[in-house]
Amino acid sequence: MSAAGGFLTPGSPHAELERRYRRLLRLYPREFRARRTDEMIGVLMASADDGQSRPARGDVRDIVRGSLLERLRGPRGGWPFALSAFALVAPLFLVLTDILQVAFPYPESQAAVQRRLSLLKGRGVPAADILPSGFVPQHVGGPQLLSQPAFLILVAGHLIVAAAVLAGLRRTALAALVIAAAADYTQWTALHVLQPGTGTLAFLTIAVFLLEAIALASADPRAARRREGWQQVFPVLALAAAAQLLALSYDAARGGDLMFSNGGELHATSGSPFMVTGCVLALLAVLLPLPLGLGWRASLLLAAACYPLVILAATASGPAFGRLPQTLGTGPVSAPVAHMIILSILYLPPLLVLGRAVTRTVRARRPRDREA
Amino acid sequence: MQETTFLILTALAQGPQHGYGIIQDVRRISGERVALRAGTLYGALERLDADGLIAMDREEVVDGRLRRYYRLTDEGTARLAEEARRLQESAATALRRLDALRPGLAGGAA
Repeated sequence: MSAAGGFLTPGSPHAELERRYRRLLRLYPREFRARRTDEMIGVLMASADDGQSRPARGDVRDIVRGSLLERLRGPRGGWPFALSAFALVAPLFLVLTDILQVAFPYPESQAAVQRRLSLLKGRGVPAADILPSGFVPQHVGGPQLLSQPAFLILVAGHLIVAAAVLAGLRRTALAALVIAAAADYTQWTALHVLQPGTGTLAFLTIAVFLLEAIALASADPRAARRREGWQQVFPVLALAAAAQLLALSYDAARGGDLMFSNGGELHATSGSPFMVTGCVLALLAVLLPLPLGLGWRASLLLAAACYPLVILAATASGPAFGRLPQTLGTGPVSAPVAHMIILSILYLPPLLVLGRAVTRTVRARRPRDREA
Repeated sequence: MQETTFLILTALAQGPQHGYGIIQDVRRISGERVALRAGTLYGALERLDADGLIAMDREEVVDGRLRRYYRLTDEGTARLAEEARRLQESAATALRRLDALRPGLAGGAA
């Protein structure tokens, strides 16, 4: 049909057909629809038979397949856009994890205190050097964090990174990121053992700092400040919740059950439900970019960010990592080599993903640089 | 290069065309073998546009409908020429071998 499709009588077969085709085209990502809908409607209506009021089956199959491919492919811009979008929203992850720690407090279990003391003893730390708080269960998370200078420095670092990224100040953001990472590292190593809560989270989210620094160094977050870039906030929300739950499960695995208040009484809870829920949320964060039309590249970058977190939390008390340092340390492989192996398993895959993203971004930039 | 991509670039090698025109031309070029549908066509046009092989030439509104015309870019022309030569060489090799295997089967070509 090549009739004057734009002036169809409402209720006529072709008006009905156009309405149905337009509804079908809503399967495509918003950005694609904005560019292509009118054009595609023109082609679909031109190909339709006289009197046809329903979309042809072949067209329905073709549009469903095409829309899925477009959602998988993601927005225009390929790796440079995906990397920019990651650099734009990753600081939000850090700020969100800070908020979640204040929002969900819990007290440490007695088993965790005993484990900390035996670790310190094993490392030859004299009892006189241990702060009084080291002997009693600590209150993990909650509003009390806001009175701890180390936590405030950490939050300030995260906020400065986020503000600098939003303002497009890449160098400032990078410098603030280094300071924030140093603050996180201080939290992590306080008292020479892993601290529950903030310390655990800092330990689990090192990959996000690392990936954000590489992303910032190679892509401009301002390039992603369009709707598709901001849509990455949704998977990042899921990822931050996953990080908090995985940190809880990690604490439970290493320090005994977690304690939660229930009607005024404290009840011990195993870390397993947190680990499972955290893993499910992490999976949701990785898959969410696909229905949102953000593409497989966004999924891959989010998977790289949460991979060490999931692996560490899921294997904290298992044979893979919980016992590996000890096993390798007493075996033919020395402890430093064992730690190198563990670090490689945890951080090499995400770094390889980022390496590919950066290479493709730089390669995509070169022709433009030459033209300039 | 996929056959669909090759056929779309070949259709545009004759000059700027709009979506429906490309569908009709591809059907002609392929001897009625390839019938592109809108979803496949616009997915391919998106990719080719993003890769810099085609570009929008102009827009027209005909009977109240938007028509966007596309043309080959220099890079698109070069890629099509390269692919056509590659296919020609492959076809020539196949025909030569077929001719050696069963004289006359390849129609005496190559």
